[in-house]
Amino acid sequence: MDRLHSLALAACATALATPTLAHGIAGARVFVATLTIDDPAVSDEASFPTVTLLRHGAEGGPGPTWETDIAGELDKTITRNFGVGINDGATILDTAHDKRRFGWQDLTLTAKYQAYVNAPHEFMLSLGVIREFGRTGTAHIGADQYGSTTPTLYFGKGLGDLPIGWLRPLAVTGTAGFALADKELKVTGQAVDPVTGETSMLFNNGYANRWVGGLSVQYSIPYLQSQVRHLPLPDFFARLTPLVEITWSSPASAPSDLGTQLIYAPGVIYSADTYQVGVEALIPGNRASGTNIGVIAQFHVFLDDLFPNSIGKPIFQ
Amino acid sequence: MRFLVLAAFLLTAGPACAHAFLRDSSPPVGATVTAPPTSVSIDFTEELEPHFSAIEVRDAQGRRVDKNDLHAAPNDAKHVSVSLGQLSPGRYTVSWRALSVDTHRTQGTFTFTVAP
Repeated sequence: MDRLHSLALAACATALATPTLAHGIAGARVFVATLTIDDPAVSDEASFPTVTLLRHGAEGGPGPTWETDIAGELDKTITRNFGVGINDGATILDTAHDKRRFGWQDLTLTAKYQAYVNAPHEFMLSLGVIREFGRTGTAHIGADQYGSTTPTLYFGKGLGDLPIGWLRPLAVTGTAGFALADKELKVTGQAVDPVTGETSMLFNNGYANRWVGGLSVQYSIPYLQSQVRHLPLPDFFARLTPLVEITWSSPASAPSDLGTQLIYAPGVIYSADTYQVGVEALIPGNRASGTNIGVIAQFHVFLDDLFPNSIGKPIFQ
Repeated sequence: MRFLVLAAFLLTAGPACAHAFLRDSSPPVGATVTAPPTSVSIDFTEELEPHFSAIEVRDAQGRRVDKNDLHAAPNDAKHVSVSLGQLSPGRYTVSWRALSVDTHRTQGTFTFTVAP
């Protein structure tokens, strides 16, 4: 054995003392990084860009508005089971018969602890806190002027341990949280429409507390190929995960100036070895969520694969 | 500032080496074969550390039927095999654990059926 090989084995033995898990892996299950809700894993990864295109109606304004959001996220493990994430982004509003508006979204930090992983049952549970910092964004594009703190529960469950044949590639992930607003929403008065005579409430610039959550149902073709039945598919299709994400929020305190919101996001995620690309439609689930279909697309990289010996591993092993 | 962050990324870049997942196998995942195989081999997406990886093959009664002799192909650390004893008709379960050369752990299970 030459000296170089010996050194390599020694280095390898040191590294093997602290095997890396990362990703959203529970046993044979890999939970993909979903686009509209956070996945249950603590890992080293980055999303940039996440581009969202939405069209808002013209009610009460000069005309329909096209909203383009360009956001990024960086997640870093501190220990194997604890990590932090930072999100920010920019918004461009193009309104018919009006000038273009540009501004920054509020900065958001997430601390997440991966509390439990059950490999045989492909189950993962994490706890986290999401902190949105008010006034870090730009008011005229709608960034909140007061922040919120959201304790959140994350879970992921693959169905591969069940005797359900071709449905074993199915997995479900979800989040459930309670958003505590920094400033309480209060009624400050009433306004009467001079034309219709209808009355409406006036509010201060606070926010109502809200229940927030999401769910994804994903069918992993990589899981099908490697665990259930290998089909002669082209490599591109063998890496796809069709999925539906559902995001929801509803007021948890009164008064509230925003009703229950529900968005369905069907789409597909392509998983390469070190990155993934996802695209989903954004379909309003009720009138309070809008009337137009939008789209979201994301490029996501796995830092633990790209930089396994530096920023892709926990700071404290 | 953002250029400093980008520079930090680039300066700390090492060789990309992802998790090792099953790309292909013989017998194929979920297949029914007429001739009893003499080995189970798996092609992974990344190179493995064979000493820290494993393939176990068990019959329907849970008895181990492989020879516990996992070995990598001479010039292809992504390709590992384990020899089998004489298999009788029936369903077999292959369980694998892989440690890629950058120490990422993965695991999986699949079945194949021998039906002459």
